[in-house]
Amino acid sequence: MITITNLSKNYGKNKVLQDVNINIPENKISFLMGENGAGKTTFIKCLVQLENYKGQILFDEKEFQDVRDEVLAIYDDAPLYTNLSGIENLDLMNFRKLKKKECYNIALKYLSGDILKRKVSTYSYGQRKKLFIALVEICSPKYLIMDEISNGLDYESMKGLKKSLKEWSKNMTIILTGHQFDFYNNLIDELYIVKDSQITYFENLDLNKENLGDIYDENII
Amino acid sequence: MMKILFNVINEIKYQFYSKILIVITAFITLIMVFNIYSNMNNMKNSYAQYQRSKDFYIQSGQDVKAALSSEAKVEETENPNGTTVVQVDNVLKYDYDNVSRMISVNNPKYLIWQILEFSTFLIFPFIFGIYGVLIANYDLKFKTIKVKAVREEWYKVTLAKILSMILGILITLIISYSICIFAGSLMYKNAIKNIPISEFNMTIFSNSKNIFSAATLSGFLALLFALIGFTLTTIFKSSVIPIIIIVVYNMFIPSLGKYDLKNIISVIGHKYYSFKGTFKLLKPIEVSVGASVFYIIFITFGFVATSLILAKKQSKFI
Repeated sequence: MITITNLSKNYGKNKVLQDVNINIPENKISFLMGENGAGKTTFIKCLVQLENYKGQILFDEKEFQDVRDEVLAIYDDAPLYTNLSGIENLDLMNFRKLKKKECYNIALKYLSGDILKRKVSTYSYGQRKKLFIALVEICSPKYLIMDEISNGLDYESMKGLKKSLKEWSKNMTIILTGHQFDFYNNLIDELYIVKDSQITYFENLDLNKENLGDIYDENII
Repeated sequence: MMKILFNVINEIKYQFYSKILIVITAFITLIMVFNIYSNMNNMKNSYAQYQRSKDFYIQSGQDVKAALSSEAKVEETENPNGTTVVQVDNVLKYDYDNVSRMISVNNPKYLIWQILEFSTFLIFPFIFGIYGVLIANYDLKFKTIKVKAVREEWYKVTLAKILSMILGILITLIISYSICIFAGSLMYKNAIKNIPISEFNMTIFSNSKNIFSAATLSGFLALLFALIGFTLTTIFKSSVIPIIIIVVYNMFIPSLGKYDLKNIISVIGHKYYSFKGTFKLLKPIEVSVGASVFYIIFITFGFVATSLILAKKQSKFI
């Protein structure tokens, strides 16, 4: 479980997160939903210590320092070494120390051998995302954080990703952020709403899922 | 410890995959080989000039033996328009000394000195400065810093990058020096085919300096230049400004005084190198060698510390 206690983050006078207190359960898919600029990415930056913050974040009662090796964060812009091939990127980014050949064999599930050997500069946005999805499979982290992962993926890839996420969640604590609730609807176990510098847990998601209606209705978000 | 090693290996891997190391090594090797090639040509031209002078002496009935056994007096005067005029009273001896000097300098025994002097003080400030810029910049350029910084604290990645630069410099220098010595020896063999070297005075140089100290200094200065580029890039978070600073400082700004890095390098350079070859390092303003060595070590650690402190403080989210 990831325990967040009194988390606050300001940029100058702008309070992005204010006294956030939530628990993210182990081996579940938790979805953070909020409009653009609500603070989802800032929350992720705090979670993976890319930003300083006030408050405490514990991963199964351990400091981030002690679990670094088990965290993988994937961002919306899918940053990769565009001057290298896909497989070279995987070789450099895999922290499980798998051999290049092993990475290649795993990645074949998501991208063809031809594409993997090509420079990433020739990849589409969706292909870059798929390379990161392959990286998840290679690293099999304990904590997986994915910021707007569905952006840029085609219908078939989204279907595949949904299946993979369900499978991964058996052994991974997964945090997703986004604003396309329809994609995540049948997938998520927990829902959190990011709004007005707060992150609120949406209780009884299973019971209320059918009645969510327009998720962006101001009564909900 | 194992983690640092893993990070260093990853950094070196990137340098191989992106061909940074290959390009840097090839570039240094090409420039040095070209320099050796032009020195060999100069040697051949000097000999041709000597031959022409000798023929002239013979045709005009002058005593060649007597000319060669006396000294050549050289007088340099400056014209009102600023050009220098060289007046030589014994042209044959002057040309003879020139050939002797060129043969000695290009001789495989002295060639390594020639290569070290030329590369360390003329090429390395640029090439390894840019190498440092590239290593510091690539995770910023590709925004992969935010992926890497999750896996490892950024100052540890920065340390791994610096250690990988030491390894990279070692690899580059070993390969390029080996190629240059081999190529230089072949070129020398080929160049002296038509020069009767036994006729010339090969003992014109005697080098009392220690080659290992000189080679160590060469590697250390390469690292210092790389650290300058690395730290500037960490400060500016861009590659353009550091490259401009490196080029302008090395090409257009004269030595700014006693404690200018160029002057300090020159003091240490003259201590460990003789500069009897074709490359001459600027004459430094006097500073004691001990103070210079302390100063340069202090600067090197200063650059490392600055990079590590900035790596801790700067935002990793781009």
